[in-house]
Amino acid sequence: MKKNRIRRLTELSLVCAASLTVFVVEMYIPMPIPVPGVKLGLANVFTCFAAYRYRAGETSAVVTARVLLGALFAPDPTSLLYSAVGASLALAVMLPLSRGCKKVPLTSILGAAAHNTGQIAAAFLITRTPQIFYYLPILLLSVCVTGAFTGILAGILIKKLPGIRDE
Amino acid sequence: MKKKINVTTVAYAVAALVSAIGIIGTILFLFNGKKEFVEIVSDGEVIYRIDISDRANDGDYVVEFEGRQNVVTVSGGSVRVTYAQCPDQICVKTGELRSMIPIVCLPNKLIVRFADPPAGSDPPDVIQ
Repeated sequence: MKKNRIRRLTELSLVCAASLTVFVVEMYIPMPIPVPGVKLGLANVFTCFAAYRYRAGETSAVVTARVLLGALFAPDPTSLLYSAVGASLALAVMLPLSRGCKKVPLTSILGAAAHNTGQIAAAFLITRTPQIFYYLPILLLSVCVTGAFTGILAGILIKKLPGIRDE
Repeated sequence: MKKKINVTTVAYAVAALVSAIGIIGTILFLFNGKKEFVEIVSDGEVIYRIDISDRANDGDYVVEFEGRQNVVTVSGGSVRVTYAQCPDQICVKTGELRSMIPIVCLPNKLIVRFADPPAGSDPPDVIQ
């Protein structure tokens, strides 16, 4: 019994570490579109994987840890707020979807869409200018592309990595 | 007969809606919205309101937030952020302000947007 909990904890830590690494590295990849919030969203690969593989509480723990640790690496401390809001919304969408929807890229796209929408909403609260919502359509378009891509990657992970059976 | 709502179908519908908003919104917003006046907003406050069609207002407008500077340059009817002390430089890379989509520097809480001329205006610049 205890051995399984340790195995599960180790697994979750690995997923979190992978997510965090990818999150930090991605910060240094320049995107051709100069829009705040447009990025590959590679960390979502692991969030999606966790949503399909683990329980809701476990997935939330992985994401929370990644958001908090990721803030340590970000040059701008307020980005923690954007990250937190975006990730919360993304989880709220992806956790139920992972139970009901078999198509991983679809879950990934909707999760990423929720993530970016949350970030724009947070940016609006901080800058208090409604014009920032004009960025939303462009973000949603980019999300359809990047979300599908990360979803396909997550799907490959889900298929190829064997589930840990409780012994 | 009981009809069960398929989650996947709903998900597809929402994704289609997201794409539609993305495409229609981008077309609507990207090519419209140019106006004669420009507002430079720092931390929620309008710092400058400039008539960019007036050549006399050409120049560099410096805004500072928490010790970090952004320089907004007005020249020949175009507005852009030419210098910014911020980590992502998105504001500089955005280039010229060309639609209702504003130039934002999120770390420095700076927004540059088109605006209507103030009703009954006197000076072309509003300096706070």
